[in-house]
Amino acid sequence: MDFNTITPQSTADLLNVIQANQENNFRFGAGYTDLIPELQIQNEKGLIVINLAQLKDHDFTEIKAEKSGIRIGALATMTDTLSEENLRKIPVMIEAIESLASVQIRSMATVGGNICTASPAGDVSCALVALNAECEILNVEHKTRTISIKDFFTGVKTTVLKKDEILRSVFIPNLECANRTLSGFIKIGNRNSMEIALASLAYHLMLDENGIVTNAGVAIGSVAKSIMFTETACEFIMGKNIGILSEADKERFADLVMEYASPISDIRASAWYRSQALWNMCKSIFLE
Amino acid sequence: MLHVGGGAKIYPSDGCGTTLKMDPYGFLTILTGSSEIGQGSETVLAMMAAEELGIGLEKIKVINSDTNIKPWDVGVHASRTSFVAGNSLLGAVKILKQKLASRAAELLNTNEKFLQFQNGEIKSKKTGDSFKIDKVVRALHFKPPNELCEVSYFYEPSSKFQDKEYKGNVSGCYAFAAQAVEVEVDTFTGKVDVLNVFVGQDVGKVLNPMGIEGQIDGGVVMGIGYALSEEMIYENGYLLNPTFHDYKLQTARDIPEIHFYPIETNEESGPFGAKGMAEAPLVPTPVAIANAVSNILGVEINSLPITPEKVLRAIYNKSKNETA
Repeated sequence: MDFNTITPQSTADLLNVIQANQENNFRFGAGYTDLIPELQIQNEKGLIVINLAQLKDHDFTEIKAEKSGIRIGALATMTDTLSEENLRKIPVMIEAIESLASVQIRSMATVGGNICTASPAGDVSCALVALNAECEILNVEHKTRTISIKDFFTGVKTTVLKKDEILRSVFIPNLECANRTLSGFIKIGNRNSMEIALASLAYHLMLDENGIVTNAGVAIGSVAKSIMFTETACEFIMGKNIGILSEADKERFADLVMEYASPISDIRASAWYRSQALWNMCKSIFLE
Repeated sequence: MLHVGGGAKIYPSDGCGTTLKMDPYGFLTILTGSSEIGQGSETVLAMMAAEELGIGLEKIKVINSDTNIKPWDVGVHASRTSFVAGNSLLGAVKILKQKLASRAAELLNTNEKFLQFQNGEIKSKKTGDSFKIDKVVRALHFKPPNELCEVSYFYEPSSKFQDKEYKGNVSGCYAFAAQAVEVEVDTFTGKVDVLNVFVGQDVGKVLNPMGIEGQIDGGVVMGIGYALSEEMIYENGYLLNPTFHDYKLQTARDIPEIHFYPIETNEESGPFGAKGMAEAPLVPTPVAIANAVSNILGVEINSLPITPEKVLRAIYNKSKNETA
């Protein structure tokens, strides 16, 4: 593992550094919880790491409640995010963070890092997809664009980010209007921490006072090339009363979710297991 | 469950040597053949010497790692260190005490058989007169017979190699244990969580209560990993999970309440009645967990580890057979 680092202190510095290295092989480093293990396995020659750990810009580091939702700076750590009062009302987010690695790693790992690593098994990314979050992307021209996180991932470890762009923040739209929610994150692993999901399910259903679903977000992880938002399953469950859901409806919902899954077999689990467990999980959320 | 509790004869010798040195200030250095790998042998050996010589733990230093200077030992395995190194130490202490007692008897003008070692002194039970132990060392060293207070001893347990049928008295003594576990099975995902482990184990005499509890907890945790997650996966001779990234040890969040009930017996061949006990707690654990899982599911899973996938497959096959 051999690389040079550049440590910009301000956003202006950062954008200059990105601009100046367009011809070079560079990676961003924030919490380093994924980057270092990755570089230990895959030594990239002539690599430059743009170290974001000392960047002093609130837009990158803070978690802010805005009028229409909550904005999380890409450099906010998992621990920072977990202690944010407004986020405590979103169980899918809290459960996803708490299932991630360990306390020590969560205190270093950043939300932006989890998204930009673009692992199909990303826990917090999966929750953010279910929450229909928006990615705010900054380019070297100082211009921003916004893209739904559902469209952010393009495959295993690949995203829509261009080489002259960086993720600045992620925005969770206002979800408080719901009367109540059915929200959670289910992660299957062989052990209860320090685990990569064998399969995961993030769900956030907003319900009115009668239990009718008014808004639905369901995402699945570790069962496809990237985290998938299960659009048709969400559409199916909208307008239904979850209190009196029939067995056939629950199974139909699970079947629709499964249409987005194309799991593989590897040393951790078989494709059969991933499918079967995911299908069961989809049904299990209505037990609450 | 039966397990070795005092070494296992796998090499021409299953013994351990000890050298003791007591300096003119009454400090004791134990050079033991045994190795400390975190199991607490340093502490327990020092405790044994302190008990026998009537001196404080702060006066004792244990040296156990440097093979240039330490006596011979076969290694840390087979639940043998407290038993084998302990017996070796007690053999050496006995010689050291004879040496000190013989000089002290002259100084106190009494017979050796009336002497006792306590509170850093060698005392005559008959007259009540005493000498500090360091003073006796100085009397040995600085005056005739001008001898150092250094002794060595080698202990070889009574164990024998196994015969061709893998039978025979392979260990110095044996440990017995039983465990009961309570588990929870998530029938949606197949994940098994262990909620409680109850350990009943014959440990001989407990020498260090906190140390023994640590060894029991450690053994049970290894046993849970053995049951649920630890596996070396090979394909065509290649190990597919060579790092702790994919070889799954249990983590703090997986560990249940462990309830330990020591069953104290007096092992006549062991130091102060103790026997080796550290491996035994991991042997019954996977069996108990597998039995508990099969008790819930009504089907047996006959290979370890019992992964969520194996459990879900068993549930699936059972329901398929029932509907067929």
